[in-house]
Amino acid sequence: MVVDSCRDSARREAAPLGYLRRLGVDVRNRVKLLVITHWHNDHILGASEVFDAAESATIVCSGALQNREFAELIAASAHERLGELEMPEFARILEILKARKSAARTVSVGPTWAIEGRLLYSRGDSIPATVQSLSPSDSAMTLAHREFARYLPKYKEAKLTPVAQSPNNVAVVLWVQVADTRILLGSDLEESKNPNLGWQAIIGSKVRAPVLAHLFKIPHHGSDTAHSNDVWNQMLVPSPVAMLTPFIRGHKPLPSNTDIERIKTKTSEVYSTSRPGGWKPPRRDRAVERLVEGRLRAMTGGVGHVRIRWSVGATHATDIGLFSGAGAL
Amino acid sequence: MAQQSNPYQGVNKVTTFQPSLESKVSPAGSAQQTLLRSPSLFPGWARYVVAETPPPIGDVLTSNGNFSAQSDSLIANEKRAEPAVNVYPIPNLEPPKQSFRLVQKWRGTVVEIRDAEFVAELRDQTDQSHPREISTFRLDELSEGDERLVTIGAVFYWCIGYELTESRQRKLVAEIIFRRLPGWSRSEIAAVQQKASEIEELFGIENSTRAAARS
Repeated sequence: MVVDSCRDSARREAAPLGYLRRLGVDVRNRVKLLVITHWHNDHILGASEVFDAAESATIVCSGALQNREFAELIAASAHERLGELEMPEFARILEILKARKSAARTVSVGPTWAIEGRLLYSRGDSIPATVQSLSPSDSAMTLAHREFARYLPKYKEAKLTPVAQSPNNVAVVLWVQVADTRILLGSDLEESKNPNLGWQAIIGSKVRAPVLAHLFKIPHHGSDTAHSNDVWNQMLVPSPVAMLTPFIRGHKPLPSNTDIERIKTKTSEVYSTSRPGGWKPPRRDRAVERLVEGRLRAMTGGVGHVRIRWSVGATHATDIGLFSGAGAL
Repeated sequence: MAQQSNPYQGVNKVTTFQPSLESKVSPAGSAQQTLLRSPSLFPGWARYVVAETPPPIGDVLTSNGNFSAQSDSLIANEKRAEPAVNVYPIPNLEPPKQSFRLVQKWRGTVVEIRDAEFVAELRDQTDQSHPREISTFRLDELSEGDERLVTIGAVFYWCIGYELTESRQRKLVAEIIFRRLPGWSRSEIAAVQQKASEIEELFGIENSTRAAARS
């Protein structure tokens, strides 16, 4: 299973694709599931490349995208080159879907729509495995219509690029179980005071199994808007192995120092794919650098890599590897 | 006719019979004047006449500077010839045109607006392997009137390069240029909706008629 994607600029490839190939994985036949948790550019870049290579994979998208408004958003963005990277990525995924459907080369091409409580994958062999989506909730899907409608083309109105503004209520949170090991992948889901949205909806869900995860992908780059004490207390073992990816949202780097201190009160084992705090921009012509000195920050810091290996039946990770700038917080 | 002496002494004759005329073009903006000089006057004589138009052949320039009717006895056999005017244009030294050599270009999208500034995500157009970047811009950096274009989702280009001025000075400049696209037309919206219907079919979504109300 591949969950989301980003681009490895240095290698000029989709990061998950390059990683699997270097491991010697037969991407074409062994990747069964490609989950796109939401449409933001830091989660989707390169996804079409992965999907194109993973010919046996079913693609899973958030149920919040299964509406006319999102279809119009993709069409409008392609028409005027508005969503520069995200929407074209979706458009390419659609082209691949179209080609596969017409060629009927695979049994199931998707997309499968992830909603609260849906079983996305199940395997019952010697090492049983299941993948279940815990979000989005019904209320979140209704709200998504309204958010997309804001960007839709209207007669005589300006052509604007879609920019996510509201709290992220539509991201797909995954519950993965492999044998006795459980993993909570938090995507970018944020917290909400509304019990029918965000993490509150998951905490209160009647379809969620009352068991605890050992491994936690911290949501939304460790931001305080995605923090929920209830998640740490009710869904995770004490001091789970946790990981996150830093980012810059607006002018604010995530996680902030405050976020890091907060997370470290919840677990002593937290790893980051790169050093938080923003990154230096790439080197450029000296005259340009003098002119823009101090104004620019890179939004990502290269493709760092946290690798966690967990033997079947083990109570803790058997190997944690940190590569290309990744480290413990 | 035999000319042992100067029978026209006291009279200046301007002849244009194979004359060599020099014309002087005055600077642009002032009336053009023709300066006539005839080399065929009697030896030792030279006369320059500034006239609005070249005088007819054979007119006699009287001592007071006016032309009088020609004397048939003087020029009866002379043929009238059109003056050949040599014009020597002065080279027009125009200043060099302004030029701009682009060094770096970003495409930006406005993601946040604050009081007197906005935050934008930038995509390097000069080297697309570079990661996305983020920067803050002040509204007073914009060209006059462009503040109204600053809205979430607006696209602009941030260009840095060398400008060669008319006075041949070279300077490093930066410019923010907001993309100005015409608003959505009905035909464009119709095309988008047609494409959206195809996407719906691919996605397995039931067609909706809500879109019609927005156009």
